[in-house]
Formats: sequence, C-alpha cells, structure tokens
Amino acid sequence: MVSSTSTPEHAWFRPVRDVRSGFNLAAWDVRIIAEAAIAIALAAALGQLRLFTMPQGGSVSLEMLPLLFLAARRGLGPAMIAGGLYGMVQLILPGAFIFHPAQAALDYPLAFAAVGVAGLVRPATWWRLSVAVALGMGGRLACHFLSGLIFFASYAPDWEAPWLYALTYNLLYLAPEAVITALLLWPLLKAYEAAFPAGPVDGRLSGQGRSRGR
Amino acid sequence: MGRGPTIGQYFPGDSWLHRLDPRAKIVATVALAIALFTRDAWAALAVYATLAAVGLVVSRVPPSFVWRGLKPLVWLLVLTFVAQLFFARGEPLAELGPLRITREGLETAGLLSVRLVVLVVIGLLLTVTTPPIPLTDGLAWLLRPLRAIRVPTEELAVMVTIALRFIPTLLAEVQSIMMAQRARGADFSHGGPIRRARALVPVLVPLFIISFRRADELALAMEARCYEPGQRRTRLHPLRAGRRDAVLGVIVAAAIGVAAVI
Repeated sequence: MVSSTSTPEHAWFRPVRDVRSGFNLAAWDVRIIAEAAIAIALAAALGQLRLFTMPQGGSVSLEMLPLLFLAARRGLGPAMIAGGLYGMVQLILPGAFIFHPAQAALDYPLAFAAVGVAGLVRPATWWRLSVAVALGMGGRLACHFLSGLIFFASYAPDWEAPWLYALTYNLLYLAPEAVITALLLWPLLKAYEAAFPAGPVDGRLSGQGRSRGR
Repeated sequence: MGRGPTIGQYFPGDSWLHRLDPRAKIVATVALAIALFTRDAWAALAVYATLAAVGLVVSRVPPSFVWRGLKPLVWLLVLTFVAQLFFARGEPLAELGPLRITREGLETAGLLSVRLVVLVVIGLLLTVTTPPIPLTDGLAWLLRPLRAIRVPTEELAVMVTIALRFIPTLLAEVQSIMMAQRARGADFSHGGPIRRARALVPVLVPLFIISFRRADELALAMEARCYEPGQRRTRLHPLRAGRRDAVLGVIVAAAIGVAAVI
C-alpha cells in the first residue's frame, strides 16, 4: 500500500498517489470500510440534532463533523465516497426534500461528496484544518447553489437575480455551520489522537497494526 | 430525535406493496418519476395521481404517516404557487396593484403543485413500504452493471447497510452521553451559538471515540469472517422476484402508456 512517508512533513496537500488509491475501494483496508460506514451513521445521528434553525429556513447541525473527521484521517477518497453515501442515506430519512431529479442529486449525494474535498489537505495544524473545512464547505455550497438555480428555473422562472438569493440563502446557514464545525474538529482530532496514539491521523490507507493477508 | 425505534420512513406492514421485490418497486418508482417529468398535461397527471392514491390505499399506511412525509413540502408548495401565480406572463384575470394573476399563471401553478405532490407520494410509497436494508440490496443489484466500469457497488452497499444498522445505536449513544454530561452539570441550551457548540465538546469526544472504536471492532469481526473488499459475497436473504412483481410492471407500464396517449 502507498505510504506517505516520502512526502515532507510541511507539505500542504496529500500526495497524488494516496489521493488516487483512496478511490480504489476494492483495495481499501476493511478498517476504512468500517470507519466510513460508522462516519455515515454518525453523520445521520448528528444530523438529527439541530443546533438551531435559521429564521429563513436552513438549519445548523453537526452532520459534517464525522465526514470532515474522516477526511482528516483518511483523505479525499474515503471522505468523498462516505459523503456521497451519506447523501443517499439522507434521501430515505424523513425530511428529505425533493422536487426535481437533478436537485435531489445535487442537494444530497453530490453536496456531501463535495465535503470530502477537505481531504485534499493534510490537517497538520489548526490553521490547515480550517482551510480544509473551508474547502469542504465551498464544495457543498457550490452544489446547493446550483440546485437553487434549478429550483428557480423550474418553479419561479421570472424571479429576478435568483443567483443572489440562492447564494445568500445557502451562505447564511453554511457559514455558521463551517465555523462551528472547524472550531470543534481540531479538539476532537487531538482528543482522538490522545486516546488512540497508534491510529494513523495522516490518512495512510493501510491500517496500522493489522493488515489484510496476515 | 425520539422518533422511536424505526429509522427512515419505513412503516412495518404486510400489504401487497410491502411484499413486492424492492428491485421492482425501485424500477417502478423511477419510471413513474421520469414519466411525470416528461409529460405534464392534466390528463396524464390525473392517471398518475389515481395510481398514487390507489397505492396509498393498498399500502394500508396510516394517513398521519404519509402526512409526516409531505409536511416539509408545504412551504415549497406555497412558494411555487405564489411565484407562478404572480410572476407568469399571460392573459390577466385579476389585478392587485402591481400584482397580476394570469390564467396561464394559475394553470402552471396548479399543474406544478399537483405534479410535485404526486411525485412525492410515489417516492414515499417506495420508502414507506420497503425497509432500508432491502432497499439498499435492491439498489445495489440494479446498479450491478456499473461493475463493468469498475464501480464497486457491492462494497458501497456494504457501507450503507452497516451505516443504516448503526444509526439507531449511535442515536441512543448520543442521548445517553448527553444525559450523562447533563447529570454532571453540562448545559447545552443556553448561550450563543459558539458557546453552545463549545458545550458539545464533552459529548462529541466520547461519542467519536466510542463510535470509531466500534468501527475497529467491526472491522476485526468482518475480517474474522473472511470479508474481503473486492470479493463476491453471498447473501443471507437473496432477493426473489415473483408473479406479484410482474403484475406491478404491467400496471405501471399500462399507466405510463395510457398517460402518453390521452
């Protein structure tokens, strides 16, 4: 399995080879499959806890936290795949909101897969982790923004400046969610590392202790 | 939270719709959704609305349960209706200052709203009569052709199945950790957003540690049972399609055919 020891510690991004092998699910360690599955379940559980609802609709929850946690630990591939699957799971949970096939794809699987973009950055410091969270949020924002445009195109075609409305609506709940998630993620990662000193935090794809075929 | 033991929108039952093969139901739902979007005439809509209504009766799901699924749509319906009503161009019916209700606006507003409700009811019939795990199995089976372009559908289905299995467990975990921290004096409901988020750290740390330790144990258990990513798996409950599913196919095909010609 690819190891990232060859890249210098100060590198901002994960090595391309790690990123590429992250999408090859058949070569994943069973541990990553289990972690991704648990991250999806955790996201769904935390998604039920609404921190607060914005006055114009759209609510702030911690559902992104497990996905970003996975992105920090395992990198782009596992995080994007888990995010996409979490989006699919959401579609069958109560409260899913569908009015157009393209909107359903953009608002759920694609939006949460885009959160996994955070996995590009190696979260070595608090600052880099915040950049990673911002990247993930940007990806999600782009998807919700596009779906907003589709909404206006199909349900209110004569509305003026729909892009402005779609952008502000989504930013108004995504920005606080990003800030809160970034604030919580760093202490969480540190606490996890302290509890499991052996666990790979850098996103190496092979499990530390056990590996397949032994 | 506190929605009881079932997750998702599944309503346990033994109706004709419940006993259908999940694959048949998924195909029927997708076909009907596409058909709804390709032909939006009142007559065609009436056919699909009738079909959805019959489905609701056959499924024997209580109306309150269906309403729960429809509730999030209400504001969208209102918004659509108002937007169409006032912003569509056409022959004016009534004027109210700068606002103008047109015939065309009224018609599109009605059409879009009815189509939306029918679409959601049809989707709801699928998720209400199919438990999440058979739904995942069915979806994975239908996506099997994608394996040809090396999409690992089997492994994806495994992840979703595990996730669905653990959602109720982890929800219970969240609640018990929150209770434990409240008992020690934690306060989750006061202060600004940042303070409230900070208050959650003592909940999230044990939650993540417990959850990911569980993932580790799960991986060990899977390995002990010779689970290998990339290998073929067999199932405890293989999916079996029967005559019932053929009947559903005929009904849906007939409805789409009728809607296309009238």
